[in-house]
Amino acid sequence: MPTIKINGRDLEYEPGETVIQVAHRNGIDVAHYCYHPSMSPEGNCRICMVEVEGWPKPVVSCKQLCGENMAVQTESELAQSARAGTMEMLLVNHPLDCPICDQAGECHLQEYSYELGHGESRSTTPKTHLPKNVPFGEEIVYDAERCIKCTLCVRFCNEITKTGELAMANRSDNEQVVMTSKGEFTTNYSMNIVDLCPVGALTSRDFRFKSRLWFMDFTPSLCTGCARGCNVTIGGRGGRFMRMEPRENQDVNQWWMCDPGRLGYGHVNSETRLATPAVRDANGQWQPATFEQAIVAASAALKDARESHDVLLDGGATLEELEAARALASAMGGQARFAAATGDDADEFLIVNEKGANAKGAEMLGLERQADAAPAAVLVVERDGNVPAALRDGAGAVVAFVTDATNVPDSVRVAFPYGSWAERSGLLVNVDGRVQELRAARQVGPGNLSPAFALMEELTGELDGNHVPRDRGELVAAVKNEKAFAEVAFPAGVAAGQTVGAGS
Amino acid sequence: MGDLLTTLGSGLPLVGAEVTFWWVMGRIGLVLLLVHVLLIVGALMVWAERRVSAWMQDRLGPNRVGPEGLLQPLADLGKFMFKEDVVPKHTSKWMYMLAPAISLVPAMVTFAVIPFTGSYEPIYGADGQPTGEYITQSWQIADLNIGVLYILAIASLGVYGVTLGGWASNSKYSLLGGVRASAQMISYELSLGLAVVPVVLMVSSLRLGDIIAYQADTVWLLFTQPVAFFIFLVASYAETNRLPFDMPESETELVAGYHTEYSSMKFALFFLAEYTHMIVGAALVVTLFCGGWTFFGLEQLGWIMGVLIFAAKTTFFLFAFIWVRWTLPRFRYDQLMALGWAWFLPIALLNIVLTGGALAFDQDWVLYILPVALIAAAVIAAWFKYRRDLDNDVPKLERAPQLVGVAGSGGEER
Amino acid sequence: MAANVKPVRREAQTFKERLFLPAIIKGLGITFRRIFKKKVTMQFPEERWEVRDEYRGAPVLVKDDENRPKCVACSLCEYVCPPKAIYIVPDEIEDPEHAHVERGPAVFNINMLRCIFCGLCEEACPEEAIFMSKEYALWGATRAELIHDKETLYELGGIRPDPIKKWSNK
Repeated sequence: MPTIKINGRDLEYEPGETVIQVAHRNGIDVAHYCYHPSMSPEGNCRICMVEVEGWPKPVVSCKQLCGENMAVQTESELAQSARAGTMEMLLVNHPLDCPICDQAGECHLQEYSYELGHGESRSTTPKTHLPKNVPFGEEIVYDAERCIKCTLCVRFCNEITKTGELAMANRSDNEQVVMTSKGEFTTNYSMNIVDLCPVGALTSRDFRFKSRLWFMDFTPSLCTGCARGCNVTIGGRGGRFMRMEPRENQDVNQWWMCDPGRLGYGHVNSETRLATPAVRDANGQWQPATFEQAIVAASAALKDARESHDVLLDGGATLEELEAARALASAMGGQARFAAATGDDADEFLIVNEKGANAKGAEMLGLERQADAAPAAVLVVERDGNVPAALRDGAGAVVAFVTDATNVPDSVRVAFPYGSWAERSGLLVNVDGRVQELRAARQVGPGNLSPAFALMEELTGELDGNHVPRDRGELVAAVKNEKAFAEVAFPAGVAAGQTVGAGS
Repeated sequence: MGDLLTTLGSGLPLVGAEVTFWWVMGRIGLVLLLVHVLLIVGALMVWAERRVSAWMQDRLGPNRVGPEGLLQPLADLGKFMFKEDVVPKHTSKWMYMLAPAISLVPAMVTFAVIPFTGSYEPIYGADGQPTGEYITQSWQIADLNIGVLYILAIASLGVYGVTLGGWASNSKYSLLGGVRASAQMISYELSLGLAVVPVVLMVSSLRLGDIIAYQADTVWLLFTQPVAFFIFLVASYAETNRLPFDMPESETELVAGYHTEYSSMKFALFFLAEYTHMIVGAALVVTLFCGGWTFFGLEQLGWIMGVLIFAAKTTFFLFAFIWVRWTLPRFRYDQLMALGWAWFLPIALLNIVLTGGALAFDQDWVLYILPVALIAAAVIAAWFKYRRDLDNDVPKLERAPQLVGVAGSGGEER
Repeated sequence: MAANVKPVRREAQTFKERLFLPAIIKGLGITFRRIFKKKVTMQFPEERWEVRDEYRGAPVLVKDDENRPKCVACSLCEYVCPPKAIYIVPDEIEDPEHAHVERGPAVFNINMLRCIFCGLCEEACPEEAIFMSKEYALWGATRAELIHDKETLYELGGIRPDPIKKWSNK
């Protein structure tokens, strides 16, 4: 393989690779705004300029193809002064309104300004005034003054979604991004341009002014909007789900996620979340109970149940929960089933029709899919869409694990709070049979929730004296021993039987 | 005007009149008047105490309620009235309730025999014509011929209130306060009584009016009996439980001493009793040693002037009470006892013997030598006591460690 | 530890000291002279301390000379506040006159029971919108009264001339 010398290191490259690609692959940080690995390089932001020894001028590393015996310096005096000059030029017309900008805290302009900039402006002319607060579709707000014209958003719409909603208009100081004659986004992936935007020019209407980033806790987890299992980062603050952003995973979602999934967290922040176990008293009134009391009451209710001994689970239930539910059903003498919605909005990119985030896992465990109302003793419901009211009310269940108090059917005697996907930890199998880990997000949800699989194991122990409640590692081990999972790779850490509680 | 007042004063059936219905009514009216005067002055003393102590500490003190804060006592009264009246469990209810009253009443009753003004009666010769000389006639509620004994008897009853309150509260702090009060009372009542004896010796009467008349005729007993005056003054501080002798309250050790468990108006009564005791004490010092309501002939202007003179003198000694309190720290208990028994008692006895001996000469010049002799005798006695202590008990006489030259500690005169 | 004991022999009191009377009279003189000295008491509600400019009293929000609320709810003060006394809910500014500022506080509470008057909020503020006033006499009959809301904070802060006029050209 040919090699290139970057900062004195001899690095191998594939012919056709650019300097910045080689540098990034080898852990050498080169500042960049307009470069994104998924898109064609344009080299218009000029911040990634590096020095090539012997060449008279610095070059943009995102467009410069590697050549044999090239010696690149990313931190030389020339490279540094080139970056500083670029920074100064970018900031000439930037409004510097970081206090009101949602990007503050994850803004590359802010970071590089801090690292590479002058700290003061030599410009004496007034800053240009351009349109602010321009709606791009319903979910995105554009601020032309903050924009550094990197064209990442335009290229995204042209190259990734190939829908072409955005274009550059005007020239020089007046250059700005505009919507094309389409007038609105026709793609389900428009909000990715908010993540792509290196500055605060494109902000999400949903997250606009909601919270500063530095108040939030970020947890790497999964989106459960459909069975794709896009890798995401969940940001939470003070018990509220604040926002979700895609996390790079080349095998699943690359860098992207869809808008419906990104905005599909409404039930997490519901005002009617069930936060403590509740038991109906003799008068049929709900009374709050401790988990211990509720488990005793639930086992009594299940022993009395005559109509059915089955467990009906939400299609988003984790493998651990499914395994625990199977044990619970068999202790009662019934079986576990699951229900999940099916959409018709699948595209060729990320969205799939299967909406049960773990439907594949449930099927691999041998659980039957239920479409019509059928009796069940225990209900596990997170998403209204997966287990709709008809299925819930038709089950005649006596024990329910619900996220939202309004989803408790009238027949239920004991209700346990069930964490939303953002608050649960566990394993999900996506539509391609890939096992991924869902992690409970910090600072989201009412807190103090016991994991549902642990509660089900306790309940099984109450019903069947011979059953010793298993911890998470034992449940995962039991799933691994299933024939269907024999060839499946499990994420590291969990495979070692590590016990992770929900809400931690 | 003066004539009118004199007529009015003379019209009051106070002096040597027969016991008639109106005489009784007049006495009752006077008693009511004096009780109110005492209560009001007692309340004002609370204000005065706070103001004077504030001035001494470069502060202003209460100055908000009424002019110069004079209505502060009213505000305090309102506060006391509306405070929760806590009666702790395990107290002896009856005695607990009674104690404040027992404390206050003797102080007020004592005042019955103290002359607060008087009149000048011309002395008529055998021929029925004025001789040009006058005799002072004191006015008080009850003209007892054993006035001094009465005072000594009644005033010491006040300690029952303190002791009972301390005992009935059923609290260790209160009990200790009560016990200390009675021990202190016994120790200092002795010196107090013995300090009065030389006065009685010189006047040859127990009637307070006679004592005042004697002083008006000759010279204030303060000047002829300085040692007795001093002992009486200090002992009266101890009797009223004032600093530096406030062992029964002694906040640093006993929380609030005998009234720790008292609240609301019961506490206010104890409070008032202390100040009434002070007023009576000051009035007694004035009467026995400072010429009572007379002031070198100024009192001849009329009975109102007598009241004013008496009030002014009493006020000075009340001020002295406050002055001393905010100057001196509290005695240690053993120091208190030593002062009473080992210093005052012997010196008071010596004082009596010397006075008696001097009077035996029955010469006018004795009066001039007497005060010097008495002071000299007291100092010599104290010197012997000091030498004896020095021989026997040196460690107790060691100086306390002194702060020398501590930077920034500051002095009195900055 | 007998070896460490150092016996100190103090002199005995003299007769004068033993009598105490001279010392007492001297003490009475000191207290009496004090009566006529100048008093240090300050009559509080009428007289007040003239606090210095750098005094850190209650934090307040100010408006600029165009009567525009300066705070843009950037939440830096909320972040820097050591006792977490500040609570802000940012929101879009609806008022068309100031809409170009885009962002302002919908809720701005300072819990004065928590505030430690450290002044870090003033230091952190990028908009010069929050200041430590000279107001040091805060009182309230209930705890809720001492949680200053946005209106109270603007009322206490009043108008503070703004030489930069950052937003008037925006």
